[in-house]
Amino acid sequence: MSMFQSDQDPSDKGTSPTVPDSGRAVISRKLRELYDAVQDEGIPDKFLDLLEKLDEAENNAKASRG
Amino acid sequence: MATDPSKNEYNFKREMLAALPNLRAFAISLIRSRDRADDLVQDTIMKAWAKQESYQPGTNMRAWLVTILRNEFYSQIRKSGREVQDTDGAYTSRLSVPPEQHGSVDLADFKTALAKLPEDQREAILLIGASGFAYEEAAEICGCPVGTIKSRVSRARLRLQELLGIEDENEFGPDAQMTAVTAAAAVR
Repeated sequence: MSMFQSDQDPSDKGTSPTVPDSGRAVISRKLRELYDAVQDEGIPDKFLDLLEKLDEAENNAKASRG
Repeated sequence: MATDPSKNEYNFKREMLAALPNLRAFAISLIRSRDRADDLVQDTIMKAWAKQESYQPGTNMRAWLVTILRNEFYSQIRKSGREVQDTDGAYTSRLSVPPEQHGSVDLADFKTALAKLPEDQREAILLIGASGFAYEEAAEICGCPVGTIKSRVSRARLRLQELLGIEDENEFGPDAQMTAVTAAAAVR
């Protein structure tokens, strides 16, 4: 990464663009990295299975009620 | 008006699926233990499913789920009497971050610093800075005034900068903004 690269953070309008990596911008970027790392994993199968089961149980309950 | 219930369910499930990765990111970032976070997400899914009638389609599913997750989290803590903060010090003791070049903060160091924040500040900065909620939404989720969220976020930012050694005295407060404005004006 170039040291001249500026971090264009929309929440960071208050600071001058000549300050490449303000503390605030670093924190914003790290927060996004933190979430991205988890979100990139997608939805674990156990949650998909759980939703499938909940859906099935509900459909069965409805079917038995007629 | 007759609505097709099966269609509503389909949308509910789909909307929930779409919101899950972000919800899970919030849980893991808030709690740090992935196992506990995933248990909490699972509880949230079941709670949300059971009360899906109370969800108004077209409103903010993410905010609704985060609210449920958060309530569940704090009620579990109250029940167990478990301390929210890192009691064994496993995270906090590792923190020995020297002042570094801006931008070279390691993600692991960032997590460690985040873990040192008081729970309410961590929650606030995650909701605003990472989940992408507006201050008003975060205030509603946490059941507190907007001003409280704002001050928690700003204290969280300052504390993180301090912990990570990325203080930047130029950018604090209205003075920094004035400097930026006058600097921008001077360019012309």
